[in-house]
Amino acid sequence: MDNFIEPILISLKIAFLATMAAFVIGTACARLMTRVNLPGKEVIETLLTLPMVLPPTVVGFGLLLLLGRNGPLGKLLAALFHIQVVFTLWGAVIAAVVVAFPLVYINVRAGLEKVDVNQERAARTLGAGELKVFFTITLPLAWPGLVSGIVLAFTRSLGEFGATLMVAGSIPGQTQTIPMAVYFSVMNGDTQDAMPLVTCVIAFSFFLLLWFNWWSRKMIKTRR
Amino acid sequence: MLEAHFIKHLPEFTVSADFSVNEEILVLSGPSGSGKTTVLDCLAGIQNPDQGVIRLNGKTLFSSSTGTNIHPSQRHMGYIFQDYALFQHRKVKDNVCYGWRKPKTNTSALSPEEVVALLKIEHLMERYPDQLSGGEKQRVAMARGLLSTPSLLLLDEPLSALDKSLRHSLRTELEQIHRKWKLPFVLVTHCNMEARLGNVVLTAEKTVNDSGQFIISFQRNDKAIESPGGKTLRLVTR
Repeated sequence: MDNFIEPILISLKIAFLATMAAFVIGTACARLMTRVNLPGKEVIETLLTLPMVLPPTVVGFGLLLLLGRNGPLGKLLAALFHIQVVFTLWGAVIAAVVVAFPLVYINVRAGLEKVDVNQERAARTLGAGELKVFFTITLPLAWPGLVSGIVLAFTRSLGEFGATLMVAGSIPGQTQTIPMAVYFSVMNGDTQDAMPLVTCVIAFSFFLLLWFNWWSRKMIKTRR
Repeated sequence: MLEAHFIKHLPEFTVSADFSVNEEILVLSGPSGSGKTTVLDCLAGIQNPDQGVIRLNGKTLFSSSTGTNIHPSQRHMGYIFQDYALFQHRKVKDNVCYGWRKPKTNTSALSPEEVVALLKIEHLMERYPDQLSGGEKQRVAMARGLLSTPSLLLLDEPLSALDKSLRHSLRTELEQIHRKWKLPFVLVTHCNMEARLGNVVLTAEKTVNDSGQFIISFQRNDKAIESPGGKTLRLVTR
């Protein structure tokens, strides 16, 4: 039973944490890129969305170079906090954040670009400071973009395989997620072990997307 | 009292504003594209003038010489946008009360009930802006602006999107509000009829300076108050 439950719990934990982190970072970056004219904006934007088109193993390799024992970030984390993220749950979370981030960024940016600036301006003239404007006007108006970013980031994190395997390995009970459990079961010839997990992932993804499509249609109708 | 003495460079011309408002309705009139909205934006702090000073009741809101530039939220200027800019995701009641702060003491400050009754929008409270007509949106925007207890109200073409009968009734309401709260208005319009709302009318005039740049400044035009309504203004070039 543990073989079945553990990968699900680990996957959900990673997907939840990665989605939260990708949402916060992606929203902040999208806000910055839509409102501030930075030099080299196109180059920055390309770099931000690059993990979306790179093979996950390449992303994983890059993360290993950065976060490994001899990597610049790995050394820094070890020196400052005495922590090692490679081959831990946090390594898997970081890998999922990196691959999910572009999905949040692109969707939130599209949502923010649709926000009517006059409504934000009106809020300012009514006495609202920048934070109040952002949380009470900008974010609710960009909500459809935020929700699609969250759903896509969550499903992407849940299905992440290549980068996670490179950075966090496949340690049962620690970093072994659903895709890895399925892969290694099949490799070991235990197709029967893989079946419940596969069914579970398909059902979960199906209902999540079904809800999202229903919700999107409802939003479009409301806006009309 | 509002004192505005500033210039703002735009790609095709420079806007020059030089006026003051006490308790009256000041109208800035001129054709579309003559920089009227830019003047309102500069007063509200949405755009920054390139040079000059803006003071409201003795407080400096903007000064290019001292580098003062007060955030729009601290300027106490209500702004009725041309497209009303109602918050699409909030019900009318939430729009109206967005800038309202419950007074700490029993003062003569406006209450939502009072403003809502005056503008006859009680029945709209549970609706969303998308479910309102042009005239209703205008009233909601007015209520929202008034409830933020501004020291001055800026109105950008407030009646231009409405039909003739609605224009007449809203015009009367605007005059009522102005009389009741002695709130100074700065109203911009491209239409002579709206210009007649003003106690003082400044009309956009285009001149060319020594270096060949176009300057649009607003000059007092007492004739506009008495002139027949309905005409669209043209830019006076000197």
